[in-house]
Amino acid sequence: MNKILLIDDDKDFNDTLKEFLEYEGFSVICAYNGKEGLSLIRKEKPDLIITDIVMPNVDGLEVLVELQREPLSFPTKIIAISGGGRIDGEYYLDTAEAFNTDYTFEKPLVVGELLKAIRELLN
Amino acid sequence: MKIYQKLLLGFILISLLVLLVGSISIFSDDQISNDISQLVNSSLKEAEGAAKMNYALQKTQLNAQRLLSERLREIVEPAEAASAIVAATRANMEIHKAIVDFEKWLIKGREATNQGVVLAGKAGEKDQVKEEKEDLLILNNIGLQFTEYKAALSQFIVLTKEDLDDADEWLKDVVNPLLINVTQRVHSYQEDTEGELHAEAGEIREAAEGNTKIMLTTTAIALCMALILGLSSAHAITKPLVDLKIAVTAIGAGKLDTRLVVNSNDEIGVLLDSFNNMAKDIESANSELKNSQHQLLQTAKLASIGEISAGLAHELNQPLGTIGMIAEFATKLLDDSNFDRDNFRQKMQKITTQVDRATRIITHLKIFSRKEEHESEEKDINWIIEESLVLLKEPLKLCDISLDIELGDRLPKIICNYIQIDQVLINLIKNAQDSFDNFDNFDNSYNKLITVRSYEKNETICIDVEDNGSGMSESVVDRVFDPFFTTKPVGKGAGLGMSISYGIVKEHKGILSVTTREGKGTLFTVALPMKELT
Ligand SMILES: Nc1ncnc2c1ncn2[C@@H]1O[C@H](COP(=O)(O)OP(=O)(O)O)[C@@H](O)[C@H]1O
Ligand SMILES: [Mg+2]
Repeated sequence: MNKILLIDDDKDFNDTLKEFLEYEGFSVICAYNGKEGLSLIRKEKPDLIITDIVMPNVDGLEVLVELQREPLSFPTKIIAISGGGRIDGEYYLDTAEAFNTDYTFEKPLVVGELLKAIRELLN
Repeated sequence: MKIYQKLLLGFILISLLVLLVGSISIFSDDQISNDISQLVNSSLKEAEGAAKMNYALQKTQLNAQRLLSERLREIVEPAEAASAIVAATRANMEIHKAIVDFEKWLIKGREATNQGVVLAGKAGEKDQVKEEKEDLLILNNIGLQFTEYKAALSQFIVLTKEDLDDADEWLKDVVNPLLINVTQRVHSYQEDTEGELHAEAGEIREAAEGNTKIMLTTTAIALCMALILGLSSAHAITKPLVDLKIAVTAIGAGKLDTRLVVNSNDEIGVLLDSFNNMAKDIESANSELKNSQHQLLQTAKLASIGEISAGLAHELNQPLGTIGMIAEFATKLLDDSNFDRDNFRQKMQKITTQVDRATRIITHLKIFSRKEEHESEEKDINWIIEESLVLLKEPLKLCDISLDIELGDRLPKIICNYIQIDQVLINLIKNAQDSFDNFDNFDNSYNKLITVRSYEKNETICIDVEDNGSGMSESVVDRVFDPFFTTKPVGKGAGLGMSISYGIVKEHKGILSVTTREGKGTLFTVALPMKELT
């Protein structure tokens, strides 16, 4: 079964998405900040990482920078989501794209499209 | 009437009184000296006349003796008869003359005394009348005695022509005793007049004493009037001044509708009038100021909203995103062949929770930006803190700033205008956030931290907002509460946050204080009184 790692500091969002994806038949693990996310990546070796970009402490961008700096020994797909709150939210996503993300989404997000992207990336 | 006119009038009145006292004393002095000279003149004249008359009468005795001896010589020595007759005739003439003179004096004296009685009667001086009447009686007595003497003397002169022995005897036995009688009476009259002189001198002394009394009384009255005048004008000046002082104090204490009653048009009246005008001006200026302060407050509030709106969009996006996701999920559940009712209900509840979350943000923003003044109400300070953080958590997160919240347990509620306290907290936390902006004094591992605390201390509820950011230099902290003071670039800070917060806390009878160390961080403390507030 495909393993997905969710990194988002908004617990409500994270938990709901987890439930949704599990309902769709994926195995999901959650991290609530960038630091936790990074350690789970190395430990759990997920097939797909869905990360929020703006978070306290080590934010999503830094997760991407870190992965770029020290490439993983296993293949992983990455989807980046931005809070979209900032006027320069899109700019963040542009930057994320520069870091080899496979898809980028903006909140509020249409889950159908996310599912489509996940399915495409994992098959 | 003007005050200087009042004073002038007072002084004029006093001067007039002094003038009156002076002229009374001069007048009565004059009277006294007149009295004295008159008295001395008349008394001296009378005494002199009496003495003269006595002397003249005594001389008649000598002349009578001479007449007798010349008669004798005429008889005894006929050779000298001619010269003796001449001498006797001369003596006779002198006697006659003395008698006439005495009668004249007597008549004059009577007339004068009579007149004295009339004058004294008119003047109503009873004592004087009595004295003059006594004098008249004496003079009449003298006149009677004198008539007797005169008759005896005439008899003597007749006798000298008939029988010298008889004449001699008559002279010795009848005439001389009668003469002594008259002279004694005249003498006593003379003494009487002198006595009168003494008595009148006493009267004059009395009059002088009375005069002194009048002078003293008028002086005392003048003094009293001066005192009354002085007191009343002093009161007229000080009373309104005291009122003015009270009114000024009242205005100072904020009772701006204080007015004074003006009931004179003197200098003080003018002063009170201008005080009232000033108070009116202050009142209207104050209400204008309040108005513009209110507007400023509103502007600053909107500015803070602008500052936090970036985070706000993100904050709203979260629940919206979650809601969308749950909705899609729920739709999926409906399509499921074995529809799980409970799971569906759970999803719907989750949506409600998220809607609440979004509503809370919107409500907060709406209340915050509303223009009407909010009433003070009883609020839990921790609730206010949580409420203000609704809009701030996200921006802090975006800036990588950790937020530490240490809320005190079971704090008593405070009465406050919570929208305003909310605004103070937002200003403080925004400033704390900004304090990390140009603070590159730390490496990547530096933990940017803002701590918000609530606790009870000395009958006050305190809220700390502490940061470990840039801190402030002395010159900055000195002006931190000044309106329009900012160290931030144009567009970022208006320099109003702290001055408005200071005003709000002060209005709540609280204290906003600050301690800071440059390069280390800053601690702002809001201390609010536990009970009481308008
Ligand atoms: N927590 C803080 N740390 C450092 N400086 C501060 C802090 N709070 C306020 N200041 C200083 O006080 C000034 C005035 O603050 P404020 O009245 O809120 O206006 P503004 O934030 O618009 O500049 C700021 O420009 C800043 O220099
Ligand atoms: Mg400020």
